[in-house]
Amino acid sequence: MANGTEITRRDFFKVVGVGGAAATLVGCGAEPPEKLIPYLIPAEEIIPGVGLWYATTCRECPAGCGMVLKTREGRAVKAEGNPSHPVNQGALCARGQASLQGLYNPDRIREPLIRNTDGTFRPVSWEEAEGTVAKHLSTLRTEGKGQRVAFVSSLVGGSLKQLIERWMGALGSHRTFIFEALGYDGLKTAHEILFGLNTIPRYDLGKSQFIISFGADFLETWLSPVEYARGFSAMRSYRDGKMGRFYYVGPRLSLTGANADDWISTRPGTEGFLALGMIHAILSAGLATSLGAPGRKGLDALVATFSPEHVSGITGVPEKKIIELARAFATVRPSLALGGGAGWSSSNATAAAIGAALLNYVVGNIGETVEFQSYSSLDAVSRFSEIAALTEEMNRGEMSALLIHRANLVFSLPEKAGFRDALKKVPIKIAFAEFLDETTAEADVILPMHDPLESWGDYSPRQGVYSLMQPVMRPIFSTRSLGDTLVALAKKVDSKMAGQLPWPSFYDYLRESWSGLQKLLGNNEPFETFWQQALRQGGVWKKGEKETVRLKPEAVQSVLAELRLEPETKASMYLHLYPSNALYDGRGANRPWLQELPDPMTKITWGNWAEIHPQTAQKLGVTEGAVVKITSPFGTVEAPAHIYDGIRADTVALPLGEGHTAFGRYAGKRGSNPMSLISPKPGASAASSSLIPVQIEVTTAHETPASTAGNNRQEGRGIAEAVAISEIAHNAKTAHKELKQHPQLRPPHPHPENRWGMVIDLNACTGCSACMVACSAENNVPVVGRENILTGREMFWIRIERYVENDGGRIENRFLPMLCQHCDNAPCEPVCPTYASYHRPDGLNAQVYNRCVGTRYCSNNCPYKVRRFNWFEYEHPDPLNLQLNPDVTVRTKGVMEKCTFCVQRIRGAKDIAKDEGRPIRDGEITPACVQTCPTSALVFGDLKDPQSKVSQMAQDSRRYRVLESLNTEPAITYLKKIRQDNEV
Amino acid sequence: MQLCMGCHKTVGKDMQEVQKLIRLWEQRRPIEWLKVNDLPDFVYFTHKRHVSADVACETCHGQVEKMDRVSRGPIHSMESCVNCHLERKASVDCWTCHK
Repeated sequence: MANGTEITRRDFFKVVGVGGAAATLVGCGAEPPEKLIPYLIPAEEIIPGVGLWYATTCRECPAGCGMVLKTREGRAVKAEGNPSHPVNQGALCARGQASLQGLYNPDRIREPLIRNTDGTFRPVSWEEAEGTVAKHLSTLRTEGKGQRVAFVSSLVGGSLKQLIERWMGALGSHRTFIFEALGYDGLKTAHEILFGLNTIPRYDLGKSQFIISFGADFLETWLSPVEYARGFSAMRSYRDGKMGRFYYVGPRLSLTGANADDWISTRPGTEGFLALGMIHAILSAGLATSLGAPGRKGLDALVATFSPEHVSGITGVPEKKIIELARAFATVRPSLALGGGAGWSSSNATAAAIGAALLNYVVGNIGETVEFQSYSSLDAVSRFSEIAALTEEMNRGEMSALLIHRANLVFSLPEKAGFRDALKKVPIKIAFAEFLDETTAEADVILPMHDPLESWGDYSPRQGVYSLMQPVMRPIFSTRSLGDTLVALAKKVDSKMAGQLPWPSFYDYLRESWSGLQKLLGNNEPFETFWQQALRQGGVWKKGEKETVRLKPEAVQSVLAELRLEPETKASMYLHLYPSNALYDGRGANRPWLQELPDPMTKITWGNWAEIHPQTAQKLGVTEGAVVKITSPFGTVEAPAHIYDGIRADTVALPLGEGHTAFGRYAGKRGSNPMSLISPKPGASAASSSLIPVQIEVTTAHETPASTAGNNRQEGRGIAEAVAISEIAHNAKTAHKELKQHPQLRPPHPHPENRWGMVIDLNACTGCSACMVACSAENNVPVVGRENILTGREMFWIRIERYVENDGGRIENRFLPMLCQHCDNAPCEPVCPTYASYHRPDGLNAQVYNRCVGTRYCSNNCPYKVRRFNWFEYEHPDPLNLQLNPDVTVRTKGVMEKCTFCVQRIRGAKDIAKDEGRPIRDGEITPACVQTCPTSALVFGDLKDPQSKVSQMAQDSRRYRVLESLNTEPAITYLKKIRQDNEV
Repeated sequence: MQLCMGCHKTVGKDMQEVQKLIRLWEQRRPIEWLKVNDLPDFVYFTHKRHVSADVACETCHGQVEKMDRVSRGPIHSMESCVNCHLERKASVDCWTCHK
């Protein structure tokens, strides 16, 4: 090339840039003009461009967290925790964040369906569908066969449940069942046996100083994970040289276990015996001081055979450890034992729950950290034995009609329980459903239901918390709410039934029911005032009253009958199933955000896996991704193996949730459903699956799990750091090292007004990953799918890195939220040929999408690997596109993107402050990740303001910055995780 | 449209364009206006900030009251936006308009 025509690289890009811009301009001119469509009659409350918030209740699990939904121009765009709600106090988990993808799911049933004779469905009008159902019911009613009709609903709130029962009563049936796959039968049975209370208490983790969990994964799925995560972080916060202790007992290291000081690995199904051994040690050491002689009566006899020595033999935990744990549990006040997995998750869940409850009783935690109240919402859930009995009746042809509301029994019950076949023997099956799941697909008539976000309703997770649900937007499809449908059906069946359900709509019924509640609460305001106030606040709260608890005299005998010591079969491998952090019992499997959310421990997305210990894997010749065939006495599943340190060598663990054969495009045909391995026998009194022996065979197939994990070892890079508690306590001054000052090539950025920054407390982060979904929802981050994850093309702006420190035996897990560090010396900035990546005066490292030409130099140069490239144009299938945040650009193919610290929220807050003629207040801006964090591990604010919370926290002696030696000067300060010095 | 119909239920009923409006109203259909002053989707513009900074409507939209057929106003390119921001000492940071 001749000298005169030689061009530098930078010039080349300038030319290409201009050319590109010109092409774009031409493109713009050729596009058809956009249309401006006004409201016919403008809604009074809607101002275009201004968000409107509605309070409602999350119905993704039984916890019943309060939510506020941001709507823009009449469509919901973001779910957040309701700050005034007593359960979750403003935070939300990943599943709650993803509730919007239930509402906008492209696979929702859009109109009523009736089955043709050839088995296919045909869409019909509501008139015709309701007419068909009413005709069937009317015939059954006049023939006096009301009792042959059963209604199975998922857990619904108080008023709707009452209405269902009333409606069934009018039909002449009392056969109403509430089905939850994770129904906590074991926990309820334990409390029934011991105290005569068929209920679940409220656990106060925040008040505790010492927690021991017997297989209760309270940080991901157990009972009320957001509430417990908050309590847990309060208990684990560092105060005056101390931090509460937490031990996790179970065969698998769950996310909750990973947050413990130590994981006490017990033989599967023996957690409860460890608790009994601890009680033995407490009683014999005379540490049960709060227990009077009458309270103690019988207890000595109960645990007599469970000496620590004997229990050590059963559980595999050293005797010394049992005694130490017992001593600590009894002497550190107040303490708390949590026990019994969700139902399927833990073998012998009832035994574990009994053990935990007795431990609490013995040391006097009941009334302190365990509060029994008059009810909990889960009390209403039918026992597995009741569902099994119903299945039997169906099999015998004794049921004439089955009505099913949002309950996927075919998927969630053990396959051997035979619900699918039993269903075929019921002549009339009517489904009230949102999705064509495995159960709905068997129905004859499908009445499409509103999403909870489109419905009126209420939900009371426990006494004193009365939470309201209101529609946050107009329904998207031709759906109705269950309440309204029932009222309408009653009118169509006959006048007598109509007379028993005289309300014009469910809304009227709900108001009437709340007017009753108002009287009960002794509120004398006019009802409308009370109602409006409750709607605005999201419900009504009142302090719950504690129930007094006494050990039943016959409890000891019942406990002994319940505890089956020896597993039925001696096997070399046992099965352990656990609910998935993202998919829960499987109901989240059709939400792309949740499918793509990496499991916090394995980091696997889109599909399930079988966790196998490295030793076992070596013995069996299993490698990562090799498909293994797992056979139990009840069935077989195949799943790719994941080699995992956090599982016992004699146990194989599988997450629940995948293996759907229906349920839409995201869930269908992905992995296999481990419920086929489970015993269909309901057990003596609980759904606790007894110990299930399994065999593992390696197949020739291979399926690489789509994992987002890199190396989980730090290799001396000091990414996720920890500090011993004594180091902070005894040596606070020297531990407070000045951050190293590097020589600078260029003058520092001036930051005239603000410098936005963040502090992330690794001691508070539990790794739950709620922030990841919140970020995707707020910032229109696309879902890329399994194939792209496999090639490393995930798009998350924030991720949770998991690092393992294994100093011989004790595995320490550290979770580190990693997002753009908004460096002052940002390596991405100088390499951008188009200045698309630049530094703002407020410290933000900005990316301008319309300047970006996609060289990816910035991403190459970023040591934190937080920049994401749009390799493709990603889909938002209709109506998922309605969720897109209108305040954030939807990026196109060929553009680099990354965390902006939610600049749209910063701009929004600044706008308000400017209107009010004041500076921004500290705490006014909360990026989506900070907002949703259940443990407030992330704090955002202005580093220029020395009084701001973030500035104060950034001075903490635990502070450090990731890869500081690279002189990137990040705006994010991390606080080291705190390690207990010694074992108990 | 409710606002338009406030007057046009009675006023100007013999005019062709008003008749179109009335027909749409009777069919409960909104008017599908063509967006003349349109910005690309990656540009975020708020009227509030510009109005409160005393920028007159005509500065961007032109003298609409004198237009028979509305055409694009004078400020509708990035260049014109930036020039005005520079003149008025408003921020010319990229994220002021793009985010």
